[in-house]
Amino acid sequence: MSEETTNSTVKLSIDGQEITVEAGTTVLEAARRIGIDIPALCYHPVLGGAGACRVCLVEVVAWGRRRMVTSCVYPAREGLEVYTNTEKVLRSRRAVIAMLLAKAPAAKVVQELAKKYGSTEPAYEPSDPEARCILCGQCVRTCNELIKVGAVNFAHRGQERKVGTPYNATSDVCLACGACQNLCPTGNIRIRDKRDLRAMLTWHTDVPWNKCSKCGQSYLPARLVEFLKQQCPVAAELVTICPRCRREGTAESFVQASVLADDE
Amino acid sequence: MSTVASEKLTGFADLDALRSSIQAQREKIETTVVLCGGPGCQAYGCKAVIEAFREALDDEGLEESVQLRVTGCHGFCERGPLVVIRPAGTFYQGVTAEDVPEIIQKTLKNNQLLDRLLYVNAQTSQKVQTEKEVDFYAYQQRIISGANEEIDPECIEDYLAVGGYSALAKALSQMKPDQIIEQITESGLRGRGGGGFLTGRKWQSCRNAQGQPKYVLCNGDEGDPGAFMDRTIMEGNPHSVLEGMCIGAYAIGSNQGYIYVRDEYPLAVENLGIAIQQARELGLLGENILGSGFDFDIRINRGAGAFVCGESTALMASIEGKIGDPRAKYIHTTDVGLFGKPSNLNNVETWANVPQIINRGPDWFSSLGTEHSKGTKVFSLVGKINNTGLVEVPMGIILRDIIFKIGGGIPNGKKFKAVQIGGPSGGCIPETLLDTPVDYEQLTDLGAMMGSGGLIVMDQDTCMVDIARYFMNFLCEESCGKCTPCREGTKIMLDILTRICQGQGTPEDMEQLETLGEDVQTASLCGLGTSAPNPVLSTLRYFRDEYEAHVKDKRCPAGVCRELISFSVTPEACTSCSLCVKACPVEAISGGTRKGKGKERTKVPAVIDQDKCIKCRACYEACKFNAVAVS
Repeated sequence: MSEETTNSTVKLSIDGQEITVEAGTTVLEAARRIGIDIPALCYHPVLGGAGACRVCLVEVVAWGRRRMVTSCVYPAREGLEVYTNTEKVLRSRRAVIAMLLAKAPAAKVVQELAKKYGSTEPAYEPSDPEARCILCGQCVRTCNELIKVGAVNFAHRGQERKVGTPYNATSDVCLACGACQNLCPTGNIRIRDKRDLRAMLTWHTDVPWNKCSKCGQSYLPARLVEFLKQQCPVAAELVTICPRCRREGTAESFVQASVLADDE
Repeated sequence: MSTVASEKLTGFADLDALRSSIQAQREKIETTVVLCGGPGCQAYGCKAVIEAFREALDDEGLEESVQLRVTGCHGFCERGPLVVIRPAGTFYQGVTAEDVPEIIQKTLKNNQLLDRLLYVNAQTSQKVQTEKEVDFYAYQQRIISGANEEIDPECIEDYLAVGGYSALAKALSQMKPDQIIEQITESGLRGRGGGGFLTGRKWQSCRNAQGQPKYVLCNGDEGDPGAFMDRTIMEGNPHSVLEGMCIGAYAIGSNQGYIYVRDEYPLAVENLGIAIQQARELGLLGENILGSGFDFDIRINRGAGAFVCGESTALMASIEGKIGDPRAKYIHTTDVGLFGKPSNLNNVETWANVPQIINRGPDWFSSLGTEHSKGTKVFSLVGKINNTGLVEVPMGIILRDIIFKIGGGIPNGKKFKAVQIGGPSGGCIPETLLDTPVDYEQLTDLGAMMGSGGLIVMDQDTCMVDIARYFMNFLCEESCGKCTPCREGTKIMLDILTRICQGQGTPEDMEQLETLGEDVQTASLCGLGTSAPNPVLSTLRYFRDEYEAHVKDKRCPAGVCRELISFSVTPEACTSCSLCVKACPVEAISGGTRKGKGKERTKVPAVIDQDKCIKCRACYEACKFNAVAVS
């Protein structure tokens, strides 16, 4: 690792195709770049991989040793040989998908993978046919690493592991920004926009709307507005106005400016 | 004896001078009574014995001439409380507070032995006087654990008196970091936490890694059921760990160390804390150690009892204040570890080996053991074994010797069935393979592993399917749940094993266990998952007939699995003593008493009502005449 600098590039082969990528690129990203599809559920281009769902397993030969690795976190290395479709890879992938199908039978993305890889039988009798969460942790990482609010996290261990707010109680810090829903691959996070508030149903948290300081319309959750003000004090005034009023204001200032220019 | 009677040491000569003065003082003491204060002896009531000695020595006016030393574990937990009287080395076992006045009167004052407290060697049936002659110790080589008896863990002077911190002084004054790493590599020391990675090579990677600061870490999160090797070292000889870490830090180029200890070891936490404080006061930790210009300090982090936190990356996440989840180690922790910095993690026992290697040289260390496994290994010997306790043996010793020569074999004349080595995710080794030497590679080849040193012995009354179920249940509960195969796979395997134990298993279940076991092994994220199927796969490999009996004949050969057994009383053997009647918690046993008086008196054999019986085994355990049969 240490001999590779961030500026250098490495050449590797994936299923016989050669590709040169920047050092630090993961095998999964390199493969996708040349159109080789490796399924991945806990990976997101913004967050990177977590090595948790294990459907992206591939075989690599590095330093003469052949082994199974998770391509979403395995860094591309000079001379690396990657095999994404060997019998061993497919067997593991099928096994993992069958487990996920039992865990989250209602998750569409899992159903599709199951169909594609021919493991339509869940690994065990699902306890909840409506379950969707595959514990990929993308919501957790979004909230903690991207938004840096940390309203949700994992709780408990093993079979009991769940995502949620602390003690499943109403969160005092959830911004109701909805980023978690955006990144969730299974559509497990439920949000309902009501008249007075945004209900983060999965997180048991309601956050009232902020009213536009000009027109009085609801446009963003109040906590999110406060958060944005703190994050970007220069734009503090901008975020207290709804998008529509902001557009109108901008248009107005253009008109003003052109009137002034005409006057000159 | 817990206060340090010295100023901060500012040079190597100061340390030598202090050591000499402590040793000179010690030479004046005629007699030392060494009392084991380890957890095993505490459970047997050693605290009362210690108190009794304190009071009695006071009363007799012997507090000046007789030194009392309460130490960490001596290893022979089975026979606690243990007392050793020096210099003769007289070894008393099973001592109670009532024995203390007599020990003082006879042994201390008049050099007489107390016959009843001497140990009887199992093989020769002869009483022996000293510890050296005790069979349990005779086959051991206690380079790490032996010092426990010399040291009151709260007293740094005891550690200094036996040469403590001389390896650190040697390293700092005479050796360059590269030389230290070279010697550790040459010695062949491998990680004692289970991985078995070459310690010197790991240090070298961390030294070479880019980035500052670097950290050295000590893994004291010993979570295997029935294991207490690291606990004993941390509780009994904490300075040996600190000294090892300090030498390692100097070699790697680190100024900050962390010890991660599970909070279930309160005495280890306390003793390590005291030791760190004392080392700081003497200038053996902190800034400019012994005037060498090298700074190093250690922090203790307490774990909250998650087994997975013994895994290196989970441990680091936990120290960082995050959830103890492991991560992939394609980029080694020696490059990117704690707080994203190069970090070197070693187990307690590994660190404790370091001062010895520096002092006695790599050649001495590599002369012990086998070609690829050097030195000694500490094991906690538990289960169905006569001599439960902590043993330290040279690598290469065969398992049979540990179990029969040191462990004294199986209690109650029962037959040995298997030994589980390597913790919950280790493997079960049958009788036919007991001549296997203790060696990293050879144990792995058998489907077991060295692990951190748990040895659980099982006898004929142990059901191997039930054992596999037990360990799978443990691993299923302790899986962090991050990766799919470990979280789901252990649960599925547990369900299948439970089904088999209940007599509802099918031959397909056995096949599925094997397939699933392989899948979990290849697809899991960390060591917990990849080794989790070991107990199932190794029992399937060596005890397949037991699985088949459960599946095909709906029979549990060991008589353990409740759904497959029933208890009955053999009338001819029953003496009607009524012990079983009293033991039965659900009043399922009638008869078992004697009727009438004098010559009229007749025995009524006990009868178990199968409808009421909950198969708790209480009657089986209570019967002294083998009249209760399991079928």
